[in-house]
Amino acid sequence: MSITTENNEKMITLMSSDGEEFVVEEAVAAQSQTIKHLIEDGCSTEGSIPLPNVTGRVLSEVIQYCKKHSSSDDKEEKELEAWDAEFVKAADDHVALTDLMMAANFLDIKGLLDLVAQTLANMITGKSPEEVRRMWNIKNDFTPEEAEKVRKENQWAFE
Amino acid sequence: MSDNIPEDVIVSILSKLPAKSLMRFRCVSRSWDRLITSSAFINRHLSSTNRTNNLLLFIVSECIFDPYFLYPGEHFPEICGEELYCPFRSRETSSFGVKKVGSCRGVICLCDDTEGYFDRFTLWNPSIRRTVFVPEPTITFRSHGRHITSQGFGYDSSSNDYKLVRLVYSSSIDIDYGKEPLPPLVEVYSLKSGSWRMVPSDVKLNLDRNKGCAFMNGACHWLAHSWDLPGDRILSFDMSSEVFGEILIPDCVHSSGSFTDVADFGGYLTLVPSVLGNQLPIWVMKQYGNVESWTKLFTINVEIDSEIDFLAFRKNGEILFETILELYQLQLLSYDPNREEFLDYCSFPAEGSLYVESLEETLVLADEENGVWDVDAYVSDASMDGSSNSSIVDAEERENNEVLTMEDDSYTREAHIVMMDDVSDKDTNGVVPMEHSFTCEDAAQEE
Repeated sequence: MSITTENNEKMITLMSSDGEEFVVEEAVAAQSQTIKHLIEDGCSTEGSIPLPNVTGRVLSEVIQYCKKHSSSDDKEEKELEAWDAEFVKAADDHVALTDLMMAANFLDIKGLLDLVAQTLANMITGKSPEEVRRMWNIKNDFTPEEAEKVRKENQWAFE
Repeated sequence: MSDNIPEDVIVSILSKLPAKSLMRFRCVSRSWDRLITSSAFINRHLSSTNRTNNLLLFIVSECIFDPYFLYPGEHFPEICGEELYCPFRSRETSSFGVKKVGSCRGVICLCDDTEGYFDRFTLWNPSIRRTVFVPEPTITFRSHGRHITSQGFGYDSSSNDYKLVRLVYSSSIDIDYGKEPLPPLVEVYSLKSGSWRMVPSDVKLNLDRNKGCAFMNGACHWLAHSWDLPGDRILSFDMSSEVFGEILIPDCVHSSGSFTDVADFGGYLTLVPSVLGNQLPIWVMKQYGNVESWTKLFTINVEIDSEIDFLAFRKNGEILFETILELYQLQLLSYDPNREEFLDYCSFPAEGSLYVESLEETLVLADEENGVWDVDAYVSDASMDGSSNSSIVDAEERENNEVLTMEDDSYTREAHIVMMDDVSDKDTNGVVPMEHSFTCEDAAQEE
């Protein structure tokens, strides 16, 4: 399903995992390398592009980001940086950021991936291994001996 | 990884983190530990955009415990440095013999040659507190007698390996002046192989003892000179192809001043001016390899009464010098080329030499076993099995083996006496005179 607007912009429809549909300009959606390749392979003419890994809530955020970044040029770099900062701030917590990060990874949007990765990195840089495990439900699979060894070897990094 | 987060997402986040956080997060889980210390992640972290440079500063003096300081980021000297324990000590009671060979990708190579009697090297990444001890080279005082060496340290991108190259010249007292000297013996240590091997060379240029090395464009560079022609040249050694090259310095550069070393200044191959004059020209090769492109960036006017010594080019464009204010007072000076002025940075209540090195913060060597320094074990182990990594000794293991330790000690002292005390009559002491042993073939036969 391909629609054309008054500005002669080609529109495509993206469908989230929970069935929500988003009609966006092709140029906006093509910031995602994954979608770009799907369009090139002719997958968009058959109807909407299904994105089974991305929920509607996350997809709307991603589209918001892509819209902003396709309409700005290099001259507005400062303004764009400020917008990016507000954008990740709105995502609020590490759960929302991780969802966004996984979507950016799946959709292959480098700018968004870098932005969210940096935000999450800043969030965890001073944290303890225990706190990081809790954040992402990571299982501590070291044996007590291994844990002791790796801890001892890197003791300086805890000080 | 976590059950639901793909590994490449974790990699994207972790590659943005500082080294200290990453070394701490090795404790998160087995897979995080494996990931962080993997060669692929170390390289990924290196190529991530937000790189920081740390400044390593150390003083080499007759003091036993010389401090090493690491200053974070580019905030030197505003922020206090963190005092580090460097496990590499000179074999002497002092650290007098420790010198800087060079650095690349966050790793500094230190050497202790105590003027040609010992040949010990270590690779150290201060940002992750990791040390790798290099086994004893093939050419030593014991095997070849007195010699003059210069070293270079760098990265071989074709094999993702770190290499140390060593040029060994016959000792100056053996040189027959007016005759073409023998080319140096050349040996290369590679971190991956963990051993030294000889490399054929037909180097016609001479290097003075412990010439500073600048690693850039995949090659080591030293300021060299020809035995019969006037003027300096630059000798290069490509770390991948292991081929030597020569870069000429035009007469107009020579006539503007004299030079002591080469260095990397803002990515340019740069001549370090001799500090004997009051006018120090800073010449850089704007286009690597193009002799026409030598350009004088600026001239430093020195209006300081005391003698100054060049220390380092900083990544921010400043040039660091040291000067001795009075006895036991080393002063660090910084020259700002934009403001054309010297600034007093800080002084140290010490005697000796200051070393400063700008180091990228990297995880390089994180995939290597951390070496534990044991001076006595080094020499004995290296003599028993010089080709292996046996210099890396677990201190605890040694404590549990008293008999071995005692044997080692006696051997070490013996070796020590031969090396240091019999220097005066070394030629009659069973050491093969240099001129007979100084060819590649002979060295190969000895192996």
